[in-house]
Amino acid sequence: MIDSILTFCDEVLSNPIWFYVITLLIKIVICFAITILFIPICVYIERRVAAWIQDRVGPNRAGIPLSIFRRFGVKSDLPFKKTLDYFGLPHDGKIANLCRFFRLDRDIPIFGLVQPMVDGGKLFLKQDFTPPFVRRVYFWIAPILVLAPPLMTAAVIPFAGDLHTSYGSVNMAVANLSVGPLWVFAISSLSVYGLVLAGWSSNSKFPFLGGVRSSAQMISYEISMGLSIIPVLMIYSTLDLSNIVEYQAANGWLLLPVWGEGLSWQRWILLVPVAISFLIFLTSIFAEANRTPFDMSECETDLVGGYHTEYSSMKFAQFFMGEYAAMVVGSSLVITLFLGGWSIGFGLDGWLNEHAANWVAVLCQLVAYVLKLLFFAFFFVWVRWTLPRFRYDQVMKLGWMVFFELAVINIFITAAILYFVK
Amino acid sequence: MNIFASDILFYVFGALAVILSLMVVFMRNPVSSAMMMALSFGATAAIMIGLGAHFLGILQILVYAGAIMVLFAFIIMLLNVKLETSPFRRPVSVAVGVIIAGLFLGQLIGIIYSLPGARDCGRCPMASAEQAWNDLKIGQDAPENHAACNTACEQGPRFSSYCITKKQLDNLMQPSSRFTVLPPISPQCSAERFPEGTTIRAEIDNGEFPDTALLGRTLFDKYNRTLVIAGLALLVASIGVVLLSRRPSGK
Repeated sequence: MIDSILTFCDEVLSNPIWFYVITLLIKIVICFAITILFIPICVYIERRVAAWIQDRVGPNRAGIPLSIFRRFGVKSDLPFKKTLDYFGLPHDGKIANLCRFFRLDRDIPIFGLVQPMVDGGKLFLKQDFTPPFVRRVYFWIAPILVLAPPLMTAAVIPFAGDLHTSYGSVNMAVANLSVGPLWVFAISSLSVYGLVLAGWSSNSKFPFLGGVRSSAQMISYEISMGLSIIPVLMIYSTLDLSNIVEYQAANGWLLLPVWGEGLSWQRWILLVPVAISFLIFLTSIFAEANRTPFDMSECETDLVGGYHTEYSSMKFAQFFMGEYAAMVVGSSLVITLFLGGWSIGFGLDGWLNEHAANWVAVLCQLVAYVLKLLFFAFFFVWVRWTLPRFRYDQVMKLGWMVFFELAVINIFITAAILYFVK
Repeated sequence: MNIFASDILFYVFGALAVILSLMVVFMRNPVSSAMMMALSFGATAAIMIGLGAHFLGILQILVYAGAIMVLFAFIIMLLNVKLETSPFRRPVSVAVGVIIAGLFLGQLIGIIYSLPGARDCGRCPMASAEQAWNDLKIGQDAPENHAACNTACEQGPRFSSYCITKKQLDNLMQPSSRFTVLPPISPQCSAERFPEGTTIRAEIDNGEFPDTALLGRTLFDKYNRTLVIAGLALLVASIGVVLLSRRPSGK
């Protein structure tokens, strides 16, 4: 019986088309799991780091209540006391005091991890109120248009090195397109429709202003974003993200060229334009994801809530999920282009490939990629609580009068270095 | 008859593009029209990607759907354009519209008829490709008018707008590969045009279709002067806009 199942699996996997389909499905699951799971993780990091920066306790109230165990009674029955009674412990003994010290007498806290779950549940259960004056079709489509593009763009980003199985080699990006970064730009530029339509369809003043602001801001920063990575693509001379990461694994990350061919003069001089590109690109990612200091379209002080003023319940939450997903995809693109993608760095990738099994290397690379993503999630929150929000004219000036020119000049500097310094 | 996934998708997206373009005209709400136009750009991009021109398809989405249509929507909303209510249209504008549409239709028909193989059967390139395909399958040689390509590349026969290599042909001949995607234009035939050691040649030898590199080469090599002139014209236009929209100083 087991033999026949194994032979069947073997036969199915030996067929290249079935092998492709099955591995593709697995890759899709992993890719979406990383992106979707990072949304609550980002929310959690946001609240934790915010609390840490502001020197307060943060979200730690919600925990697993003892009262879910029916034996210990409902909340009014003082479940902690009933628990102590159940185990035959005195009410003010050493164990009870220890439990009180760790705040176990209320709910069982797990580092505040219950908080995001409770938040999500609350958003699902809230009343989904659609105001009577909205343009209904677009009002419903808008949140989807914000959330869908970032999830689609995650498909081209390689999250680990090639996995070699006995049936064939698997590239660890869902869609290994030859135009990787451009695909990300193209699809993420569509998410502005969601904000614009949300603002327009709400049919009231503040959302409309928010939508108009966001469309102007996103178009402005798309330009500097696209121009800023041209020097990077000139250095790699390819648009294939898998090749870009493999090159970095072998020859040093673009921002950290300390092994392989990265020790050449050219790469060290190129660090100047690369650093400029990195700065512009990172800032543009903030602007594209509508994160503070660039959250002009939803700034409470002058727009109430911006484009999502009229939204409630899960439709409201979708805007924020879209924002966090855009943040994750944006930072994964930064990681892939500048910080070596899945590569562990310092020549360790080559060493792992020689001295360890292939699947061990792939697993380590996946972990390295996720760790880098976690760092960027922290970085986004760090910036949010460090810099104040810009004024709208400052945002426009920064985009058009500083970044645009700087990015264009940067292209010429890179070309000169690539041509003259060998 | 062989049906390939890319062929079916071509007709699906082609029909979608036509329907969506019609919706642009017939929608009464200007914002809906703009959205339909963005969607039809998406369908066009899908056709381009299906034909192997990834770069062009992505640019279609990035530039037209992602930037230009957003600006359109922005302006429609900012000016608060109302619903189109009056059914009355001036005869002059109708006539001008018909003439322009007729000119474009004529150009389109001209292009379709100048496609290789289009006049062979008087139907469509796809049908003639199918005809040539059947000829190949029963062991006949490729049509004579394509012999030039045969001797030029010696890697595979060329028929209609398709040009495939021996290896691909052998793969396609197997019954198990009915639903594999037929590469619409195989670059192997033109491999000799690119010298050894260039990026394009390396990608072709790798079995990939270097559409980005080929497009860049055509733009910056063959049409370099035109490109520079177009860029200059755009620069002059943007300077003009800045000059015109600037408030008069000193008042």
